[in-house]
Amino acid sequence: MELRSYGDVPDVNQPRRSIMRRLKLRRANWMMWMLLIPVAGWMIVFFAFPQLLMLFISFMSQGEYGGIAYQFTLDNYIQMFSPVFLNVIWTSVEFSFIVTVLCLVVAYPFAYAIATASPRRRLFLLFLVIIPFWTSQLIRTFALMFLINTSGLLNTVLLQLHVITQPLNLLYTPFAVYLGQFYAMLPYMILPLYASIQTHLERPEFLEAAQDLGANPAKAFWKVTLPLTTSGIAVGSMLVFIPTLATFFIPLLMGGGKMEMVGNFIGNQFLSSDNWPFGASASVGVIAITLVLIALMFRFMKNAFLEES
Amino acid sequence: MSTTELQHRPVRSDRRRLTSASRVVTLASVYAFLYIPIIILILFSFNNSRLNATWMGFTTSWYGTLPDHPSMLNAAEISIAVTLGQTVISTVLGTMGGIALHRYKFPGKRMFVYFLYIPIVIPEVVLAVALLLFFNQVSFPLGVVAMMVGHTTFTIPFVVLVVRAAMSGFDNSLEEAARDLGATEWQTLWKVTIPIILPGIIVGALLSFSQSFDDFTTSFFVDGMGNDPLPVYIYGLMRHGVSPVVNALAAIILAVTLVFALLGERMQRVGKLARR
Repeated sequence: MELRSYGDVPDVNQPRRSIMRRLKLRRANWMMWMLLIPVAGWMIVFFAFPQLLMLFISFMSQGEYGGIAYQFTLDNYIQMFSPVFLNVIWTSVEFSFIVTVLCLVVAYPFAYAIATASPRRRLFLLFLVIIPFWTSQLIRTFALMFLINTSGLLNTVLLQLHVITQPLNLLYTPFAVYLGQFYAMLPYMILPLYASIQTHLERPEFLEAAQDLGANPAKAFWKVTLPLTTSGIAVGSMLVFIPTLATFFIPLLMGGGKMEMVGNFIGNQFLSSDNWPFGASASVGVIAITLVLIALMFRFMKNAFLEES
Repeated sequence: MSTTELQHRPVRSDRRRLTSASRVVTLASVYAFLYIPIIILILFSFNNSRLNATWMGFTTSWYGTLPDHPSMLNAAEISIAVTLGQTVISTVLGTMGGIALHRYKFPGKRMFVYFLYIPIVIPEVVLAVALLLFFNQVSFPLGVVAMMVGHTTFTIPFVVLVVRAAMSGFDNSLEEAARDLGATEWQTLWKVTIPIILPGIIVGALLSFSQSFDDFTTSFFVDGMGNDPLPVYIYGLMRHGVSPVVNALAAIILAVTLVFALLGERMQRVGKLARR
């Protein structure tokens, strides 16, 4: 418990010895302030202050010709319950939910297949998942746009195979936005699922018990494997759901601006609609939701750790 | 227990619950999905045709024509200036913060750590519009410096995170020994602490570099007129239809970010080995 007060998750791979060493922390001296003040100052000026400014502006009125009128109002928060905004929120939640489920359905068997490979091959297969993880998400989105646009390779191949007679308009549709987000998020689902399935498979006694008691493989999976990998499912789902909720450039690029998620909505309030105060209140709302979800995710992870120890 | 039930029981030691055919199909299709778009993108940057649709033979000429576009050169210059500038600032500040958080205890430390890590978890668009609002309110001109500030703000937390992780195996008694032998605080920092965690600092810098180099969202909001860095510039090109030049440019950005990420991974391993 003492460890937790230093504000980070203990690295389970580090030997206990080094944790003991870390407890010998020094008291504040002038050197600490020298080291800490620049980074603290930077983050206060360019992160905390702009966010507080955002909170302040969210209570101001919209100016007559766009811009900000410095008059207190709660209108921006009341406006968050208008059908237009609720519709945007609903679109985002539905979108994030479907993308999360799709990722889960594809990633689970995939992660399972990696976890059951031989140890040597497993490392290589995992490495192949991590590379897209490192690759620029933006360029990966460009790659998809290039593949599915009207004169792109996919249409050319389908035309030449006479599967279709006219090029499909795939790009700049909701389908493209789903595809792009799914493509970007898949590795985030695979890795935690793999970790959790791997841990489960290292202790086969539960599965063996299920088999000894006469469960067929399907039943053993539903009653044993799936419940025991809940933590991986929960963490993976959060890692996909949270960034998807306020995704910005994927709907912009793949949807051509036609599908408006809450992230795009906020951006548009600042760029095209020129209703900064409302954009500010929406932004405050999104931060609040995100922080609550993150706290929930850590709760899940903590529970998973407790279960294991 | 009847004999039929016994026959259904699989061999216990066999961990493979999926048949090998379905395993291969699962693995192959997901890897194909993950890699084919990227491979096609790179492949067609070498395609000897203005149109992207069919393969007309190998050429490197699209890469050769990149310098002929002045606007592209401008975008590349802006990208490099922003990325280098922000990498230096975020690495220096982040490393100092990481060392301080590892060494010292102070009241409110836990809250401070949470505060530092929040930019990692909240959506980038929210950070970007807040910066736009801030620059607007303090009348700071949008452009290269604004982008540098924006990128630094979201990369600092990553550098702090990486440096702290690099220090997790660091033996504090080494610093104590240096001080007992008469080293000043500065000498201890420069001659003991920094050399030992240097691999971690380099990993932080590489991560910071690649995150800034392919950033779209923050740049999109704070770049101002005529200062588009490469990612925003490509976005503009893509809206006017695709061309192999765009592929070549995208392939270069891809290569740069991937090389930096792989280097980072390598360094991390070297760092771990060195600590053992």
